[in-house]
Amino acid sequence: MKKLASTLPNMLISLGTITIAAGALLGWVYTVTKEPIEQQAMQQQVAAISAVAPKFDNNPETDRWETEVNGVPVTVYPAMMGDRLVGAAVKAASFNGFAGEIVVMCGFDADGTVRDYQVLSQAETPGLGSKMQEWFRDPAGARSVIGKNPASTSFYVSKDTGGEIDAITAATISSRAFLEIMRTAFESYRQYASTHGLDMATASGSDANSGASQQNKDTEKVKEEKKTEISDANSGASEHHGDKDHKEGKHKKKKDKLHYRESHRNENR
Amino acid sequence: MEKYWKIFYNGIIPGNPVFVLLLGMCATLGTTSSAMNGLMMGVATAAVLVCSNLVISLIKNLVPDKVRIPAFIVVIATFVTVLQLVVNAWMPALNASLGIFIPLIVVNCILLGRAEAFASKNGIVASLLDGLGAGIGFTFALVLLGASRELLGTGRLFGATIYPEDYGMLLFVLAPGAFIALGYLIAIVNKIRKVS
Repeated sequence: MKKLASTLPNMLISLGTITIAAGALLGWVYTVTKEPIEQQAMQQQVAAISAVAPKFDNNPETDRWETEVNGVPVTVYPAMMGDRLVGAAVKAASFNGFAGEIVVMCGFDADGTVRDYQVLSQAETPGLGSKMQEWFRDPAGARSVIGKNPASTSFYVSKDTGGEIDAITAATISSRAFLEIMRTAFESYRQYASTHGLDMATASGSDANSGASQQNKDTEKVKEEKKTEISDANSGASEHHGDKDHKEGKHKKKKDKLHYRESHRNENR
Repeated sequence: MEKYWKIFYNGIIPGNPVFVLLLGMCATLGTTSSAMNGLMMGVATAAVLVCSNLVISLIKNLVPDKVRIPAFIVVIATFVTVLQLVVNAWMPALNASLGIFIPLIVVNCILLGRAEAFASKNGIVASLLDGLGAGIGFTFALVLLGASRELLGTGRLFGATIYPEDYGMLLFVLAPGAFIALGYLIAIVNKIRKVS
């Protein structure tokens, strides 16, 4: 067959046919893949929720509650047992990392103790900031956030004043963003509980904590100290709802804890 | 038979898209932070390359010369979009690790290069083999680059630890390391080609 000459009608017909054929093919593939793609996204979501949240018998996806903190959308997926709130998975994000958006699914026990977390997406520097998925569950030093409660532990990097979480080596900016997400998630969870008339303190904090300390036996000592603190802080918070008392108590404790950590660190060395 | 073998082999070493032609640098440098990523990107590109070469050699006489570039790009973009949708639907792990680089296959010069230089002038079988050869060559180069970056940067190879990560040179996982590693690999490949 001879090649078509480059006349205007030829060009129009040829290019037109090709684009129409391409469009038809794409349309067909789109309809075929539409459902699997949606299912895939749904599955990932559900997997992430059940990985971090305590056992639940409701459908967190349909019970979800959306809010916005500082212009970033936050979704709370409550975990219920019967009509009792046993915890939640909270999806929160931050743009304050080193590169792009960081999205984390944070899991909380009923009293707000961090149960687990999963980094859903991030574009931090490989080998530095990208370590966040492993780093903040490492029991070494004060890296781990698991088993700690943002109400009683200061979720800031230890470089910043009052911070009680160790930042990732050479990735302080990523660490700050991660902890910011944790704080946002915790605040949203607290908001959710208060706006829905659910009591955060019902499920005993000690239950959750003993579970966590079984996970990291090395840090049992630290955890035990935390346990008492958490219950203190909770009773304080629920009785007063006043910031002043709460803060004062917190301040005192922080001093003690800092002292404790110093000695603990020296032991390690 | 020998003619076909030559066409196929040309894309792997003598006309390797990355080491010799220096085409598709964006995807090459961007996705090769590990050997596995390089392999997956290579296979994805090879799949599109084979399909587009095949279709373009089929329609080469129906496309007037003056509109051939847009026509080829439409064909390539269609296959890339199909690939993206399929990966999205059934291969979530691949989608998570390659992400934005899959749509960027469209602008990979190897595809238009092979379409323009080979498929638009040759028969179906030859074009198919040419696409396969260039695709395998591209995959080979990406795996080699990804493996050396992963090994030097993190001490792992295809995810298996070779030596402790603490001794790795992080630079090689980052963008500048990609340029350095690619430069050395091109030098080595050139040396081998001259000797043989």
